[in-house]
Amino acid sequence: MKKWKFEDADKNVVISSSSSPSWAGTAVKGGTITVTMNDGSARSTPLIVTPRTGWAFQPVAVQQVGDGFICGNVTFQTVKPIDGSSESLLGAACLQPGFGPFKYSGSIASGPNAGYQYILQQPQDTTQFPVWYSHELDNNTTDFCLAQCPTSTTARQLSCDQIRSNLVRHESSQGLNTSNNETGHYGQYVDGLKDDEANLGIAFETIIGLPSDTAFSTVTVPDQMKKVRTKLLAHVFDKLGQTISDPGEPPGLSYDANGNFMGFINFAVGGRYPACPN
Amino acid sequence: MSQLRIKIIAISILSLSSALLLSGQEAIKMNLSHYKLSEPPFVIAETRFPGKAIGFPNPPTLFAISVKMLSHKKVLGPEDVISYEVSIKNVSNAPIDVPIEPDFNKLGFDQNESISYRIMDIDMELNRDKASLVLGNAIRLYGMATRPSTLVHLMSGQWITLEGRTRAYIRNSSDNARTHIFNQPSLLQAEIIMSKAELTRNNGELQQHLFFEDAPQIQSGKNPEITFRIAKSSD
Repeated sequence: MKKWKFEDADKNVVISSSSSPSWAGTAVKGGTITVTMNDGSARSTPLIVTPRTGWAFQPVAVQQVGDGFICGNVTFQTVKPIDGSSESLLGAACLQPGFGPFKYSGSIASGPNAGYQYILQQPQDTTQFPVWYSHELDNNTTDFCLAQCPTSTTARQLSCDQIRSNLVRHESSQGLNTSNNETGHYGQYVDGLKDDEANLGIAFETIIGLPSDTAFSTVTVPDQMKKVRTKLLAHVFDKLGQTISDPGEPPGLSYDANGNFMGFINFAVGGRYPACPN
Repeated sequence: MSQLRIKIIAISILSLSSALLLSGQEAIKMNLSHYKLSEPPFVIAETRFPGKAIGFPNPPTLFAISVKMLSHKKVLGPEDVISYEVSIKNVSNAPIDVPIEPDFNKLGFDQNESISYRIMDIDMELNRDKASLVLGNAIRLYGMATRPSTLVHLMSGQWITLEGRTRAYIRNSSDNARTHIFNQPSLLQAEIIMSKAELTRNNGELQQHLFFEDAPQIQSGKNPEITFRIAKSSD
């Protein structure tokens, strides 16, 4: 043997001038191994690395929080009266991804992946999915609930019970409607975790550092996880990732799970709830 | 690290009578070309991302970022070195303190005390058709409120310019990125990642608790296109 060479799909190369007939070491990245013989001839073989299993983060449960909960730059707080500026005044969901400590390998000492770095153990998933509901939906005697109207000959109206039920479905349902779209934001989060590029656990399994990656565990890993978090948010809240198949906003509070209109909500206008139509 | 050069270009903020006069000026230009990022002496104990609430507007955009290639190469390969200049401009209406200290040790960590500081990481990326690839190592800058020399006070409209250099290697490409970016003209962009951190000692181990802030939008209008050539010439 004259030379061993490993090359991954990104053209990163590891070379060994060892004359040993074997080239052993931990492998974390697949590619092609080429051995050059003393006579100048060369032979190649693929190096196939099988991902470790069981690393995907699973959905965390919905957790109901009260007034004063801070989600990013928003503080959830009951306001009175509830006007029609945003249905989020009645309730909101919040996705807060996070993870605990993790162990990493340091540089692999020998073999085709010498110098590569990887995560040794899956960290704890500290993600939270809080939902918040306005106190105006606590019972049917609040100002908001008392202001809701019975369905009349001129307008279909929702009862407070129906509004509450639709809100809970909108924020925390995991169900699918007849168009196979999620009927709630929690379902979008659960579905988003099926996208490997949006699942922090999968990302921990696959991320590697190269020999030149001199701050792999403290800089590279957290920064890359932030990009994974952004992709997960795109599944749940908006369409940041246009390449992601996103069903969009789940049906709102005036609609059933299939997007059919159910009735109006009597929101306040100018600080007062309008009188009910006859 | 020792070759780091910091050039103060703007007139001292204290010497100006009105903040308005500072708008549209470069505050600091730093040459980080010879700065080598290395693992700080701690482990990450906890990482939290900012919560995102449905139905509420995103946080206001604080920064605009533009990139200039300093080398004139339009085609790069895995062994090439990329030299670039990143400008980070405060586009909000309020002043912002931005970390500018590349040496973690300059924070003056007392081994027996906990400290809080801010971090700005800058990743160079190639982007095309919604796919992205990170090129090489990040730049990391630290800042601590009790050490004013580690922060620059950017008034609205001011910017800092960072000159950097990295080997243009790719760490983990996905099939999607390979399809859309390799051998295709792609936009060179910088992403800045802001976070707050607390460092504590726990059972003798230095632990960092990392709290990410929402990333500002990436402004791509002035950024150059380059091709990351990964296929062999015979392919």
